[in-house]
Amino acid sequence: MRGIVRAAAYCPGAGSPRAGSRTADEDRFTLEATALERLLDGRPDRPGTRRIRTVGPLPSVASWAFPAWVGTPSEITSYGAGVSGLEEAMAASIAGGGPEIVVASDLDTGVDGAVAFLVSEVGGTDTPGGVRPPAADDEEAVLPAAVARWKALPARAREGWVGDWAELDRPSPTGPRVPHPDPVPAGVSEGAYLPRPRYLEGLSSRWRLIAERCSSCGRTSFPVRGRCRGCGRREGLSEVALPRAGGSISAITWIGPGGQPTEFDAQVESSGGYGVAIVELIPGTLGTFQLTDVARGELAIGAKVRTGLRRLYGQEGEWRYGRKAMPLAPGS
Amino acid sequence: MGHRAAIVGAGHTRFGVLEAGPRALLRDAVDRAFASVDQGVERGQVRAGLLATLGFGGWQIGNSSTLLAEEADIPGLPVARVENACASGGSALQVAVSAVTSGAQGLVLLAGLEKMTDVSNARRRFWLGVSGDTEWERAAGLTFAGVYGLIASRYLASNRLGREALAEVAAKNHANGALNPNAHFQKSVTREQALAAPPVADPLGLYDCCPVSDGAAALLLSSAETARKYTDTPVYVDGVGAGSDFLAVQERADLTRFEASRRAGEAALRSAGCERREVSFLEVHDCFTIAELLALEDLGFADRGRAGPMTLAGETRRDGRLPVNPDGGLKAKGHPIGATGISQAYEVFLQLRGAAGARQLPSPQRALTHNVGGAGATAAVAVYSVG
Repeated sequence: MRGIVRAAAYCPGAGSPRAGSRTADEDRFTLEATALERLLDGRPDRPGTRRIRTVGPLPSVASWAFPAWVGTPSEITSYGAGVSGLEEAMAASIAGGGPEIVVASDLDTGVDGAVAFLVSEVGGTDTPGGVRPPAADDEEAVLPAAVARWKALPARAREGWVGDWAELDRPSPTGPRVPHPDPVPAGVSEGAYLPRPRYLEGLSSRWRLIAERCSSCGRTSFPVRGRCRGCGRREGLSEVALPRAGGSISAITWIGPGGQPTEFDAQVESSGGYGVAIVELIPGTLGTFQLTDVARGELAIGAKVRTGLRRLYGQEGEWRYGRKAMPLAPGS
Repeated sequence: MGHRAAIVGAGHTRFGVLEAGPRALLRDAVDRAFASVDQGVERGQVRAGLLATLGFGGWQIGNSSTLLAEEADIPGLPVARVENACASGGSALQVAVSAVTSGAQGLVLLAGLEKMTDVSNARRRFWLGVSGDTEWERAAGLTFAGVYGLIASRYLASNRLGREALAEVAAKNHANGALNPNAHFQKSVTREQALAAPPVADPLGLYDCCPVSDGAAALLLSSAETARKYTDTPVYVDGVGAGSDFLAVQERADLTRFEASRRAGEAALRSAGCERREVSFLEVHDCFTIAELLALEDLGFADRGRAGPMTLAGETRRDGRLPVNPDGGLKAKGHPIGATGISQAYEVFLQLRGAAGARQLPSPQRALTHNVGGAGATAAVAVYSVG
């Protein structure tokens, strides 16, 4: 019998003064990728996931990015947008075999965010301890019941579900939602050219903060280059995921008009500039990140930050994505 | 110890936003270099040529060294390009020193060139970001200025300094540039103007940044033994040193020092058998005002954290204890990328021979040039004395 064993949600600007307003570097892909990241946090069943069902149109990057994120060959099936698409996807999951992920955004429930569900056998060994699955005696209604609960958000009880549903407990945005077209620049970038194979090569570090720890000298090097930056060794390196929150700013600058590479011209034109920081992700290991969701002056050297997946720039018909740094959510 | 090589001639064009194209600039600098040789020299005596250039704008990326042979009117001259971003000139000088010291080449023509204003503003910003780490620093939205902005933020915070020391570097170098007829900027700038300038990469503002400039400079280098064939007052290159560091600033041990510069300076002074107190003046790489403060500490002329107070106290002015960048530095003289390292040696050539005109320092004996690539990825240092 199948059910939702885990769920995770992500809302743009959650917990920040800008809660509920999607920033210019977020799109459907970044929302769903972040929800997916929360869903898969430390999950042992990640290697087994066979199918990913996406609700609503996504940029073509999702077709290879989501399976890469899950870390195992997975098939993607797409469904129409909105709650009806979600119901269809959920119904199809009942018949599916093996663990599956359903991920959706822009569900028109007044909630501007994304949610990801892990669907699997319930009552078996893959049910996480401490989580009460849906009513076990209601076999056929298990998934529709979950969908009904989702549709009724934020009012219904959600005990037993994993994930930060509290993010959704806030007033619905008033007024029309800003439409989110995804025009992708078709031309060759005028900027320093990061060729696509090099971009893809670095994805584990760019998207998931994967670094390499040296068994010989103990240094953690970032990004992954197959070489310890401390002692130079190329063997005895093991992959480790750096924490996505809690790093501190070592250096910070604010780029004004004229200080940016040309890929970021449109961004500077609309926002006037942006911040960039070197962040000490763990003691002795640094990364360089653009800042987002923050006004000039809000962050200084020593401040603690978190990182999230955001859109960087467009090149040759494809959006490039990477992590940016932002203030910690209040209370964290 | 003793001398390793000798500069027997040197030439320099105006630096700035110029009408002249790259070929004309090269020809001008080379002609002046040949004309400056006291006893004269036949162009055919030159055995090899080195061109220091980034190739900014992409107008001629492959085989650009051949332009040196053409514009010097030395057909068939063996030539090569040397490139280490902004340290191209200083690095080329070291290759030339090796060539003449080993006896492989008797007389070498060395030129640095950059034509930066041919291309649009947008393409300039593209090329200003090519010498940092492309994959990571660039993708985070950094050009050259942004990386130095990060370094400056950390330096000022660690040393509890405001921007005044940076503004003083700008004011000093502009005052020096006003006495240099080749300088890009020949007007003075006050500390207040520097502090009030619009931000480019906070805490760096417009007057903390060197300009985008066209220009060329050239040297004729011989072995120390044969120098007197060409002049009674050669300027000897007594020692050279170089170094490098991780391309991406985030991977380095310390955000407020350039290890590449420290290594290069240590090696150059040691190979020249020169104590720091013997050095009469410095030509350092002030692509941004913060870079001059770092240079003083990296080269050991100021203790860690003391470059700011030293500068504010006037010690590095032309009339100070240790003049730094008497020609205006990159800040005021300009920074045609490949030409800068050669331009620094040109200033040494003039100053040590008493030919620096209005900006002449009183009887300098030994000098040091310091040339850095990008944000400290490479560095080349040389130490000189006069014959």
